[in-house]
Amino acid sequence: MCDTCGCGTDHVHLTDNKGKVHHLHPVVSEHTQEHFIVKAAETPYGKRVVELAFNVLDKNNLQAEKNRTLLRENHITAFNLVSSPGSGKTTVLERTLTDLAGAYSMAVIEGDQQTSNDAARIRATATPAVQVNTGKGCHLDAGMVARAIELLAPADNSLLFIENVGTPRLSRAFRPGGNPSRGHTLCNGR
Amino acid sequence: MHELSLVMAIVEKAEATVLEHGARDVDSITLRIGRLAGVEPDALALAWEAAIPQTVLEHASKMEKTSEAVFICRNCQKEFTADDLFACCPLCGSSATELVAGDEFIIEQIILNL
Repeated sequence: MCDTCGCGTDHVHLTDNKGKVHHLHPVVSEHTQEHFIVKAAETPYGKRVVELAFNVLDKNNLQAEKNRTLLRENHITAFNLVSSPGSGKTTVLERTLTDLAGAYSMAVIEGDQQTSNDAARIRATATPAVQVNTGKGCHLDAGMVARAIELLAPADNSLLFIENVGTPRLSRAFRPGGNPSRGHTLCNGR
Repeated sequence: MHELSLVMAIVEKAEATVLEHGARDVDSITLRIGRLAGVEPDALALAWEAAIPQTVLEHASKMEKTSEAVFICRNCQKEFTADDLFACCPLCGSSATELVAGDEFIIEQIILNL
């Protein structure tokens, strides 16, 4: 929500030479919409003030939306498992994969900060799994999830488990791209 | 995206803006970071120092503003602010709340040196 005018939809403010502020709603297209407005008045000589409303996270959000569309079109139900490290995600997942084996086609995207250990445990269940080492990062972003989905090529009507890292706060804020209507975020532990 | 990825995306946008306007480099940049954007301030500062040398942001001053996290209650339509992603509605107590603002990371303004 804009703290200048309280408007909740995409819009920009244009200040004209008389200092009057115009409130404009751009047409939203498929691509990330951005407008820049140049403030000619009250700008020091040799400088130019460029006003943007550029959300650095838009690229991730767009990719997340693409991920969700792909899963939805192929009737793949995604589960995003999020909790603090050590609270039991992998154990829950291992048990689920074992108990449901044969009843569903399943695949796993495994995010772990440092080791391939979690993926090894999952592979022991004979479920296709891809390890995404996030290195210093502490969550999966939409691009990582997209690449993992491409590698796994989950079947139509299958279940996709994304074992995430980090806290629920970061996972939700960064939207790895699970399906919101047929997808579920499971928060475990603390 | 972790903080370094975020900073690199900012550098990319700043470079594109400089090019678009035929400017020399950036004088200052203003960022607005939502309270629930999941950005760790110390990590952001470290990433900034690491990523900006030899870019158009090298000598730029940076201003950071924080914007509030705004929720809407699906049950009673009340809008409220909170610091916690799983906030319940202060009016009806429902947990069916949705974040409508406060997870963004916005470049608000860039002042260019022409």
